[in-house]
Amino acid sequence: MKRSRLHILALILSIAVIVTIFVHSPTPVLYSPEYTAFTKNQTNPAALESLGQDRGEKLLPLMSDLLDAPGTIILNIEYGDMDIAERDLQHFRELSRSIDNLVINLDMSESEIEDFRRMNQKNLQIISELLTSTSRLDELNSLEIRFRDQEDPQMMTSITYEGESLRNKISHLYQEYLSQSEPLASVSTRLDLNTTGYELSQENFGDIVKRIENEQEDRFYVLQTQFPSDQSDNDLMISVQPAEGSYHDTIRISGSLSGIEISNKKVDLFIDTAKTSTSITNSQGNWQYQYRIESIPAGLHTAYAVYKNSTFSDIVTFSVIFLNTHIVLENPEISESGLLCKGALFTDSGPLDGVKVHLLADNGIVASPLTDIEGNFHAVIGLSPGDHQIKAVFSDSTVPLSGSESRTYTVTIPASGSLLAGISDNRPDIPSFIIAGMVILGTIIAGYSYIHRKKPKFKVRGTHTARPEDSALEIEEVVPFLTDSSRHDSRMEEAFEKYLAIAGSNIREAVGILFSHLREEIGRSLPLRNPRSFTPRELCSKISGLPFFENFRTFIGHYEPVRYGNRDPDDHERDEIVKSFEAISRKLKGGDEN
Amino acid sequence: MMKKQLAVLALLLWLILIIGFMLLAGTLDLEIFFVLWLIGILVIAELTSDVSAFPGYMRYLRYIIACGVVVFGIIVAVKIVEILNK
Repeated sequence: MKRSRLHILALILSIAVIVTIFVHSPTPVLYSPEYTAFTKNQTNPAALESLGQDRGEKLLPLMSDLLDAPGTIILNIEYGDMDIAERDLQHFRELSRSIDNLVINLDMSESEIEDFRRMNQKNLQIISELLTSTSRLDELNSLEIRFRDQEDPQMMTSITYEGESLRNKISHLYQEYLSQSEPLASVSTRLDLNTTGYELSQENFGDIVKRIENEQEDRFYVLQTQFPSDQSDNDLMISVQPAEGSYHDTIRISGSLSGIEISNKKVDLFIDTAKTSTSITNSQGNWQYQYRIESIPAGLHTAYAVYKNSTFSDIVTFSVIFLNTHIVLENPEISESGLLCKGALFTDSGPLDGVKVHLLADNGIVASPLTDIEGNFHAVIGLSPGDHQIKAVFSDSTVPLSGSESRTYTVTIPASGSLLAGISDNRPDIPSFIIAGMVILGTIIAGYSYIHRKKPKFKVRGTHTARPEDSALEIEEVVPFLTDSSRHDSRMEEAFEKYLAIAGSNIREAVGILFSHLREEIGRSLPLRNPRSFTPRELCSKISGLPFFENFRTFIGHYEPVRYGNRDPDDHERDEIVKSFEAISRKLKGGDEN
Repeated sequence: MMKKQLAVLALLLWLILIIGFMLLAGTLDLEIFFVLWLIGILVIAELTSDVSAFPGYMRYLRYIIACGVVVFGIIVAVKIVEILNK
């Protein structure tokens, strides 16, 4: 009954384990609210509802803050508090990220909000560049004071030209900031947002531009009056053609050196105050440099040339046009070698070659192929079995190109092809197969060894030399041990004499001597470990079936009341104890069973 | 209670414990589950084996454990291949 209950319990538990595994094994990731964002086919209606309810409550104050943020930064720049302006810019960036996330999470498609978001991004870029440029101008002011005192005309010219470059840039930023005004005001009016702060920021921006222009005029005045450039006999001219270009276009910057010794001379070209190249003049003193537009931000840039670090050319400007890109990803194909992804990247004017495109699987970059001359790209990627979200993304903030993202495809990789797909990505790897094969072979050997392993031999502690290998007690096997009868007799006589000596005065101790003797003798005859640890009844159970069992039981029957019960036995009982003792001793010796 | 029954119950409790923790962790990994099962059955086989007696069910258990060791080797080999090809 007890065993059957255990069986039923074990069966129920086994079924529970198997059912639990099989229920969860196809979709091992369990649902919880934090998995909502990436768990397929899971939605959290409660969470969505709470987001939807306070959509307007969250968005409008945030938009209002975003409108006011540039004003604070511009005001701090105007008053020269660059550290505070930097901190405010960081706050502006965080606010901008908040609105981006909010718009994405709420899946807002209203044109006003989308327009506002785009214009805010533009404002952030303008303010960020304004802060960088004004910080650099502050540094230039410090340098100007130092080099003016040292009367270093080369450095003063360099500072003045860099200042001019920055002035151009800030003027350009101001124009862009003003161009934002009208559409932003229009959107703000429709959304009932207060634009007073933003309008004020435009005025402050204008004040900054005016101040920088004045500073720059002063620099030119100082350079021309205090540091005359006509110290050398040469004159350097510069020109750019065309005056504007886009990514991968080439701008030809050329010029001529006039004066004495104009042939085969080095002319350094600076773009945005950074030394870009060194050209060699020809026999007529002409030089030129082909500048390919690559890693340079969009906007206005300046260039000037320097000869012998002392003759400076004028400053010329050229403009880099920002281009929008479009990326197309074809439906990925599952092949034996992996997942084949193909696509193309192009701008409004044509394909883009030689740029890196990122292929993303589940928002992680898995490949970054380069586009070819026709703007095409392709890659074979290895993925684990299951569903994956695949898309192609182009994003490079160092080039005058917008980022773009393809549509997302959901691809299901079959389980059978998983290993192949992973391997085929890098061609079959023989060493890894060898290592894997060795591991499998090793485990097969380990399994075989486990089945055929031999147990350590059991060693019986004891003193009897003629003990049988098997511990099972067999009557037939006991008999051969009953040898050495003379020793047995002497030990028995010795024990009996001791018994007789104290039986009159202390029968309890006397019977103890007899029992101890019998226990020792039985322990010698049978394979018993530590015979002294056996109680009378344990010993009795061990010898069941042996010839002296009945005698031993009789002995124990009288022994226990005397030994443990402190009972004083009468003469008859004493005789019985002695008789049973003698019978056991005889039978242990191998004598008459009766 | 017999040793054999105790072993079965202990193994079941071990498996339930593993599943419980996996459910709490929010994911179920069959490979980890298999390896932990193998560890459990190895420990139980060692604890229940007698020095003097060798019951019949222990012989079958040995074959099951040997198969488990081979499957474990295959899992390790696959993982090695995956890591080397990353």
